[in-house]
Amino acid sequence: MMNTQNTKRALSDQELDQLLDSASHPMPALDFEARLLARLNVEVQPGNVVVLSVRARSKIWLASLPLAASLILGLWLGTSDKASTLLPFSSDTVSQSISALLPSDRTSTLYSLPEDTQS
Amino acid sequence: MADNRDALKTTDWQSASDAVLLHAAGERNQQAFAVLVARYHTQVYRVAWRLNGGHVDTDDIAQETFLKLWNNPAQLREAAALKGWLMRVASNLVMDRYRQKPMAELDEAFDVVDTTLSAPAMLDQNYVTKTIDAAIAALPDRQKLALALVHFEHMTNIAAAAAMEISVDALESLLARARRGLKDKLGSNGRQLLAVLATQGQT
Repeated sequence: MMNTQNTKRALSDQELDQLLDSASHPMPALDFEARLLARLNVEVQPGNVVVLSVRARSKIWLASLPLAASLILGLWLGTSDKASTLLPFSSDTVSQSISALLPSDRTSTLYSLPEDTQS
Repeated sequence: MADNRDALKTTDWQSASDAVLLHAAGERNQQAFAVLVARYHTQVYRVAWRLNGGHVDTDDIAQETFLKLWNNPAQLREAAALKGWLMRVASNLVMDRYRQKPMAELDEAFDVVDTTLSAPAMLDQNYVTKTIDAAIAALPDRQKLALALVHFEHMTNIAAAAAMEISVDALESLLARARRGLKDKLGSNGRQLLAVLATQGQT
C-alpha cells in the first residue's frame, strides 16, 4: 500500500533531473569535420536576398521608353485632331465602317433624321 | 586584433579566441574555421538531434549550420554570440525540415516505447534511455529547444534566451512547462524508471 502511494506520487525536480541525465548523449560521426571541410570548397549556398543589379534596372527603363513615347504621341495626335488627316477616310471612321458593312437602305434608315425634324 | 591575428601561426589557432577565429574564417581561412567546427560541432549536432528526435538528417543539418557560417560570416556580428547563433540556425533548419517533410518519416526515429512491458523487460538501461528520449521528443519544439540548451548543453538562462531570441522570463516559462510536461508524460512510469536506474547503479 505504501509502495503504491510512493509510485503514484509525482516526480520531484531532482528525480526528473536524474532521469534526464540518463537520456541519450549522441555524438556526431568521427568523420564529421573532414566531410564538412571537404564541402567548403564545393558548395556556395545562395543567399536569401536577391539584389537587383543597377544594370538590370536600366534595361527595364530602356524598354519602357518606346512605350512612353508611344503614349505621348497618341495623346498628342488625339488632342490636336491631326490624326484625321493621316487616315484614308474622313474623321467619322466609325460611321464609314458601319456603312461599308450594312446594305445601303438599312444605312439610310439608321442615319436618316425623323420626318418631323426634316420638315 | 588584426596584428594579433597576423602574428598567429597555423598551430596557434587552437588557442585563439572565437573572435579571432571568426575573423580569420571570414577571410576564408579554413584552418581557423576547422578549429571553430571542432569546438562547437558536437553541441550543434546534439541540439539538432534532440530537436528532430534523432532523425538521420541530423548530420546534414549540423553540416548545413556550419556551411551557413562559412558562406556568410557577416551574419554574425558578435563573436560572443557564436554558440547561440549556431544553436539558433540549427534549430531553425530542423523546424524548416519538419514543415517540409511528412511527420511519418520523422516518427521512424524513435521506437514507440511500450509502457505496459513487464518488470523484467524494463530492467534495462537502454529502455530507460529510450523512454526518456521519447518523452522529450514528444514535447513541443520550443520547450524541447529550451530544455536542450539549458539542461543538455548547460547554457545559462540568459544565453539560452538570447539564442532563442526570447526574454529570460519566456525561457523560464518554457522550461517549467517542459518539465511539467515530462512529469505528466512519464507519470508513474517515471518512478519505475528510477528504480531501474538504481538497480543498474548497484550492479
